[in-house]
Amino acid sequence: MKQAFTINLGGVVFNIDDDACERLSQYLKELGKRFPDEEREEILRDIEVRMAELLTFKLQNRNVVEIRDVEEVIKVIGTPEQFDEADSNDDSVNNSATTAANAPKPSRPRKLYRNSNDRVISGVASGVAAYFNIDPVVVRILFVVLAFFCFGWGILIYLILLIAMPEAKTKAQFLEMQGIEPTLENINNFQLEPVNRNNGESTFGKIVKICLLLLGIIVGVFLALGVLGLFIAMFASIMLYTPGSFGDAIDMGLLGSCALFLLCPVIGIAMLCMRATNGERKHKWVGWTIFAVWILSLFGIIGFGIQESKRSTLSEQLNRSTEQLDRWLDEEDDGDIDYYYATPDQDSIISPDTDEVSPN
Amino acid sequence: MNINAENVKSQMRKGYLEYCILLIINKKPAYVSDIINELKEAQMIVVEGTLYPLLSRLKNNGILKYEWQESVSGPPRKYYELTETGQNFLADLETGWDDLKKSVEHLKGDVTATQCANKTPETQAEPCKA
Repeated sequence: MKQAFTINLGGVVFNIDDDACERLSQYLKELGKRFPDEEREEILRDIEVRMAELLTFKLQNRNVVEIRDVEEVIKVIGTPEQFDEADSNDDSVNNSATTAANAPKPSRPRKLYRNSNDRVISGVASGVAAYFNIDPVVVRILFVVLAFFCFGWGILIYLILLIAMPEAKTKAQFLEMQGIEPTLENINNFQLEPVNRNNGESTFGKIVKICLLLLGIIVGVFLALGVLGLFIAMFASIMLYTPGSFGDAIDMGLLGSCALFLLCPVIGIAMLCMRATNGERKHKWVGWTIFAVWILSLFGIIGFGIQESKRSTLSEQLNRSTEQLDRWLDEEDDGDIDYYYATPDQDSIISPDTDEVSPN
Repeated sequence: MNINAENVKSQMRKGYLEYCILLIINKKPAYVSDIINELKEAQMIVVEGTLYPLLSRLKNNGILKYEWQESVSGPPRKYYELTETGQNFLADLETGWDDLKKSVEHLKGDVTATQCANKTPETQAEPCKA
């Protein structure tokens, strides 16, 4: 048993099931949203009349409108989505204008992504610009200025951001980048229009990329040479290692840390150059591992370095005191005054020249 | 948006939907169900709902007007007919359609002509259906 209502649809009275009635009123409400205010009432009225006509035709001798009747009628009239499809071609110019006006407003904190859609090198600058909602050009100029006038800090910051910022790939990420809630509707409405600069990359970008690559190669070669030298030193100290001599665990630790400290950036820069040229970043963890090892090696250098320096200051002090002693003794040699050091027992005096113990 | 034949075809049809509606109404004053039936026969619309906003827009632009007429069964019906502006509008569209038809025919003729010219002597012996 179902509850039924009596409704007036387009001037015709129907008996209608509870669920069918609900579906019908929901459908009409949805339709109403599609039409401009001044036309809504009239259009809905026309549609209601037509629906009544269709329902009358369908019912024939039945008394009550059921949900399947309503579904069938809706199929004939069309769902709001189908209306949109038809409309979008109808006046696409008009539509795009309204979507631009009704573009979703930023409603959540922006997320920092590389905007590969608008990039000169890799989209770092435009990503930062999107985060602060400013013109990417400003950020780019800032980077260049920093690169040339502040000891190359711009390049360093750029590289760090390049490592840290993930690339926006999905529509949802692009929306997040602009601080727009990535709802289904927003994602559907969002259209990715690549900023036209020679298929996403300018000649300037290419030049910068080549410079970056050259820089990477040069730095890489030098660092690699340094690392090689350190390895040789380490190897040599292992070879020359004799118990009680200098090449002990602290030296080895220090050398190892130095090697890693230099090796990590070499690998890192090589990876960055590869990424800048082909724009791919396959294994995120590789970068982080390298970074972690680098930090560890830095601590290693500090730790072992402190120990080493403690020891070396000790031996230096020792050296210095013996040197001083020697100097004093030399002075004594040249001067006229006879000066002898007393041994602790004060029974004998050491002569600097002969090391002989002269009687008191 | 993807470009496929179905899409383009339906867009072509949509572009001339207004023209077709006016053609139907021009024959004799029509009420919505008549218009819908004719359009469906001609495969000009898929869902009926799109027609209502269009009719309302045409009416608000002074191209159409309607009159209520009693019906044998059910409530009175809106019978649409063309206004004077509507007549001129339709004439305008008519020339537009003729021009378009001519352009397409012209291009099609050209294409078949070049196809014929490109044919090898053996096949050229056959009559060219231009």
